[in-house]
Amino acid sequence: MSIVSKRLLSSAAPPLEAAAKKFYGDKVSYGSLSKAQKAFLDRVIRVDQAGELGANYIYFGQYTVLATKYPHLKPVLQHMWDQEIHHHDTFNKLQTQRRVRPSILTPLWKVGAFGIGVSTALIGKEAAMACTVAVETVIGGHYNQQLRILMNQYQDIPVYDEHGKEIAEPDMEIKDSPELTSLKDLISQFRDEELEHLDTAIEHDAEKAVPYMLLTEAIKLVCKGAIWTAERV
Amino acid sequence: MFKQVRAYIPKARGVRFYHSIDHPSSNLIVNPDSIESTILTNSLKHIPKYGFNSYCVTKSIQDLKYPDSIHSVLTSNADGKSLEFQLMLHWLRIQRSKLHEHIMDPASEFHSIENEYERVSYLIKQRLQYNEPIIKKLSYGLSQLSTPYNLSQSLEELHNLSDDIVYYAGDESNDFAWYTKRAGVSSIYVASELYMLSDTSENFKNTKEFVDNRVRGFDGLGGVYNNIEQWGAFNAIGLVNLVKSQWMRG
Repeated sequence: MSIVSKRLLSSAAPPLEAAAKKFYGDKVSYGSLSKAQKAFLDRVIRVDQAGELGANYIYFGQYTVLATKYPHLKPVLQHMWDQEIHHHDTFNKLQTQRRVRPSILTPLWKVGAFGIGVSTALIGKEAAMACTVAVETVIGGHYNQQLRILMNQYQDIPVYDEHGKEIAEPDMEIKDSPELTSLKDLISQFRDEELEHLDTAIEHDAEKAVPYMLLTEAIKLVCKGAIWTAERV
Repeated sequence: MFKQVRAYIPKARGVRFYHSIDHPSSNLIVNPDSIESTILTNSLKHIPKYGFNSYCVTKSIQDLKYPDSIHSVLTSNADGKSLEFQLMLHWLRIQRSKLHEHIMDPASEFHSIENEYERVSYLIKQRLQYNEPIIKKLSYGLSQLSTPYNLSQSLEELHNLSDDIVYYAGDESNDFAWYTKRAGVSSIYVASELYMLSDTSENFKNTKEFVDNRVRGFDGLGGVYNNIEQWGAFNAIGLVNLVKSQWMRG
């Protein structure tokens, strides 16, 4: 039997089922998501995939220019880039598993992100770091916004016990399905790592870039526009 | 008039976005509990005799011993879909869920095929096989789908089918190839179905061959995009190096 077939036949993913088992035996099942809830999850995965792709290519661009000029920055950039590659791979996997449409502008995001990475790095290493500050600020805020909605708007999904009876007041541990819990854990972990990159960039003289305000605000604007677009197309 | 204009605005009702893992009831193709689908599913058994005709629905309502007035559940819909068109769409959705049941059966032949494109080919043939019992009536149903008024919803259903097929076959593309593959499978499916309508060979042998040929031709097309991208990147790096070397020489 091929790998694909195995994956199809074992569709349920059981990472947090152990917690549920402790209280309710073998089976806790969850009611359906509403159309709006599904549409939001669809958006989250598409925009995060596109965003991490962008981040990945920005570091690629910066690394291409800076790695030979400033050998002391090499390990710093490499570490941040590796983390972005991991984020990107994770969302790629989610996108295929959850059958979400990737952004149709993927080729544009690749070229644009690489361009931003290279051009800021060509201005100087401070400008490259200022670019990182801008990007990570927007991404951090955006992840927080997503978490807020995932916490607030997914509370009304019924939980059923093994006999198909609705549990009136489900325990905290089983209130959210493992699917939603793991997505929230993932996003908060990635947010923390993005904000770590922000700190790293400030430690490496981002604020000495000239003109710092103009550069960061312009890049923030571009990122917000890209987020708006990637959510939709 | 305004009512008609409004009905042209594509609605996101049937669009299947986001495939849930722990909320399986979100992924249903047809909701078996609704009264509409009970009536329509029961009507399907009359199609081989009467075709995609509203008479099937009337007959089904009589079978189920519902009052005649229950017709209005189907006819008073906001988007103005005709009974024939609803019957056709419902038939398509039921075939799509049959395909899903087929691949979820561990004993099915599908699971022994290793190659992604051979699986696509197998799934298209499997889906076309579901046309056989009603093949004589199918062209009228298809004409319902291609009416301009209905086109957006028919295309949506077609793309849902090709998305299912490509997903079941094990597609893992994350970029533009995602779109290329689905569009390709949609066009192969439509071409094969039209070919099937006029196919008189025994057991639709020619149609099966046709599908195999078309899918083989399509094989690798998703990769073309990636190859072009790689080629572009290679040349860009080459260009930078060329400029650099000329610069050094002064």
